[in-house]
Amino acid sequence: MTKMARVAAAAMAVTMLAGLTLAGTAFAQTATPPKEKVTFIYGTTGSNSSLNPLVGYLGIDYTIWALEYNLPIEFSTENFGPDYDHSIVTSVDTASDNLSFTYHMRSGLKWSDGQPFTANDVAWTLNFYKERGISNYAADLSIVESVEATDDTTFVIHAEKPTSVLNGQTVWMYEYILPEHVWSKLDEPKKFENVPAVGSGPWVVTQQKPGDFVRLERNPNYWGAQVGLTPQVDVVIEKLFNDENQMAAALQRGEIDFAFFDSANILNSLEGKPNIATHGAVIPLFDELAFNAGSAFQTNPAGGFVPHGDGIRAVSDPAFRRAVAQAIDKQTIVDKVFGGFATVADSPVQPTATTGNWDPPADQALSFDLDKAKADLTAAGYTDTDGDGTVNDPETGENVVLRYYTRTSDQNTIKTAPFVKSWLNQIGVGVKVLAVSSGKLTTIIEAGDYELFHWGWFPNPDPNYILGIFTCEQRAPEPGVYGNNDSYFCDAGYDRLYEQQLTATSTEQRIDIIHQMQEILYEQQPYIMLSYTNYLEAYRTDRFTGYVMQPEGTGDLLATWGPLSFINIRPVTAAAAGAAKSEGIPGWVWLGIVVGLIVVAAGVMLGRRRVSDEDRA
Amino acid sequence: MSTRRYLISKVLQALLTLAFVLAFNFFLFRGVGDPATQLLRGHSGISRQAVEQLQRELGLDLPLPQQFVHYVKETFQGHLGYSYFYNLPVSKVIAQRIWPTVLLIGLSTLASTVLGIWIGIAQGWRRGSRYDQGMLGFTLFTYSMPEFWFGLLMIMAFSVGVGPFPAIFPTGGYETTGAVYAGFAHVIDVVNHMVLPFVVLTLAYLGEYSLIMRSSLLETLGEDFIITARAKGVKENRVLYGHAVPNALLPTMTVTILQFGFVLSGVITIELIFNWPGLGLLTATSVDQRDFPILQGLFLLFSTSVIVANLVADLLYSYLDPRVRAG
Repeated sequence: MTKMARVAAAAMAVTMLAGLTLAGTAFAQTATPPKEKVTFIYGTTGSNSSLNPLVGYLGIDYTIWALEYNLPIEFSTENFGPDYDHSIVTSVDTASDNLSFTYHMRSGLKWSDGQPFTANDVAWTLNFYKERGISNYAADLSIVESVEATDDTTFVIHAEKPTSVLNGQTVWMYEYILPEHVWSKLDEPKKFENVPAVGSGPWVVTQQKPGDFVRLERNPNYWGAQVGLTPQVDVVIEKLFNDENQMAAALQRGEIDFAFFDSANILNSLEGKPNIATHGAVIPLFDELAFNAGSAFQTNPAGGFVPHGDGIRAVSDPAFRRAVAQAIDKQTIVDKVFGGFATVADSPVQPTATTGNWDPPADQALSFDLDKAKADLTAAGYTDTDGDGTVNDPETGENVVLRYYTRTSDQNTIKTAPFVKSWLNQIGVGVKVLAVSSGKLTTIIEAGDYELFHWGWFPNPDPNYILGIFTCEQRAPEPGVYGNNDSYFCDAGYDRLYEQQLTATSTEQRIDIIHQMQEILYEQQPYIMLSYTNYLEAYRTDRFTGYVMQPEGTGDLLATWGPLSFINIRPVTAAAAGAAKSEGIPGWVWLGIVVGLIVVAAGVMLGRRRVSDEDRA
Repeated sequence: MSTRRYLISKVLQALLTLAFVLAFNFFLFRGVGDPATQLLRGHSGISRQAVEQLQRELGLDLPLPQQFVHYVKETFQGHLGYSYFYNLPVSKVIAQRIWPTVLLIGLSTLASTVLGIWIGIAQGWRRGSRYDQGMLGFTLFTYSMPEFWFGLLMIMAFSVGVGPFPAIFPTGGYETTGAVYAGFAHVIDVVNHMVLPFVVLTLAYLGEYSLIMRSSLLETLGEDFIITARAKGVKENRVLYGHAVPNALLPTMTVTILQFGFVLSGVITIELIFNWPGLGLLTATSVDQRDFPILQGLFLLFSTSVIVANLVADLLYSYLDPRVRAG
């Protein structure tokens, strides 16, 4: 290398160094996060299906809407009953014929854009949902004939038949009220992204990156102050993850403040970690083993049903299903599969989180007893006639072997399978365990090509929804057409009771009917109810405090059926309030690394040039 | 074959492949079931009318050939459809994910190519040396290591901080959630998030390039023209960089260009582990959600980028190595 070249290289290196230092100083100043708003970040897995309340359908979408909009009557955090203290509606008058219901609203309500929020918005929204047949709300509104606003703070709901469900004693209407002045102007409301949103709740969505995050900011016109509700958090962020291990790591690092998990193992691994607390929330969430109660054998044509599928006859026999139910040790599943984060279940109506639960009396209980299960099978005619170890169907003579589907997206279903298989084998029932995606299983269920599967439901607090799925009308009428009734249970007596509970004119009478419905389900066992599964939650104790459980004492820490827990949470200390937790190596260190790399590279280059020069010499 | 005819035939081949992919994509995704039914699970009191309405809205009630004609027409107009799951235009969803993927996969591919070639040259030149043996072991080790597993280890070590490792890097994502950074601060934020996945990917693919470069260089070093050069007294360094490396680079270059064709497809496992909001992650979640329009859009994009990369490799190769054109 000539002297000239060496000088030039040195000059270049000095120039680059100086330039980078200057640039570094400049961005070292901007790298400090701006004085941040108080930001609460909760993590969850999956993605929002839509932030538009006409279209989205996932639990995580509802959590966003609960912060953004109001229901006519909110769920209380205590027990899911009506909470008039914190609702836009303050009272309901029921006409003597139980056909019309007058709802009185607060005055002075506003939307986040400053427009007045009146009874006209409520009437418009409910009529709009009803007329459009919006699927999220169709069941609740089936009994509603029309809604009219009589003045700015009063609306009247007219029912098609006398009923008690609209009398305001339970939270029947799970309908988010939309601003008429925004939604009535849309040509294609279902294609409306709804970002940024106009809402009436404490926060409204201002930004989303699908599959990544949703950002909500304080609604400056929130009406809650008039009932003492003042949010302490400026920004709420829903951060989406695809892997629970990664979400757990993010929580430990303080990148997020709160997280929802499915895996008990991961939650257990977080226990005892510094500044982290865990909680198994009792909410209306359950796991079941569902039978194909006769997709190929039923004759009731309700809902346009045509018999289809190849599910075997045995599972359509209630005696067989009852025998199998006694071969399932639910407590073992709760302990071994759910790691204790669940309780044994008997009815789809969850006892502590909803109203109307029924428990089987001791003499009707189908407790775990393999000998009794075997004896009941024999009594029902299922014996091993060909001596191959598997019982045979008394009518067809074929071996009784169940195709038992688990879901690849839910590890708990996969972990449950070996237990169930072993117990059923012990009573002589053959089992073929299969694992498929949720989507594939939906197709299999619609086709009726199964005997048993493991899935779960996350029902509304009111039992109407979950009891409705067992009606004949909700079976998949033919392969390829969806039906909520995934066990194909169909019983005319049950259907009559379902109609009756809708039109019962007193709440007590309705609950009595709901009990009878659960008794039928228990006797016939279309679902072997496995467990009331907890919502697994973990949060940082050093950042926010003031969580309000729903239901009180045992439930969801974020009370995601409404905004009350979010409103009540506040930073533990002022220092914890900062939003952007600085992550990674600071800018000036990066600068050093880059300079270091340049110097090394320059050194290598110069070295190589020297060798070349020597070669040439 | 003349250069012009060679060019035309290659471009035509690429266009034909693209047309085939377009048709294949459409029918492929119709084979996995009806998305309308999947989308409705969990709705309360769903009626048959509601299912039919949804099918109408998604255009699933039309006969298949009609759906196909509609699809081709729309694609040529640049409309990739409407995502079933996100309820947003496909182009909008994809556009938000392209940049993170290009950044991460593009840069790591570049780094593993440059480093891999550099290591391969040194190995080939000093064949059998300790350096050669050590590097061979190292690159084979990182190449054969499952990248998602390595990624998880890196998260445990450098994000959570196990034992002596410092927890210095974010666990994943593209930027700090909730932060509103601008300019350089944003750049540094993204760099911090990118370090771990970048290192994992670069190491994982290092071996691919170093191994090809090494064997290709060894082959070239045995050629007559190298012996001739040495016999003429050409300095060793010049033998290596002037004669051997340019010839040995040809096969490596083909692999590299083809590899860049796959940049857009992302790396599903790594994007999943690091929650990197790129196209690989979008592919994985869309398969799970049976979001046909997104998958169709993605596969079209991936196929196009691979086909274009192939075309570039063909054309460039013929330019660099006249024997290909002549053959």
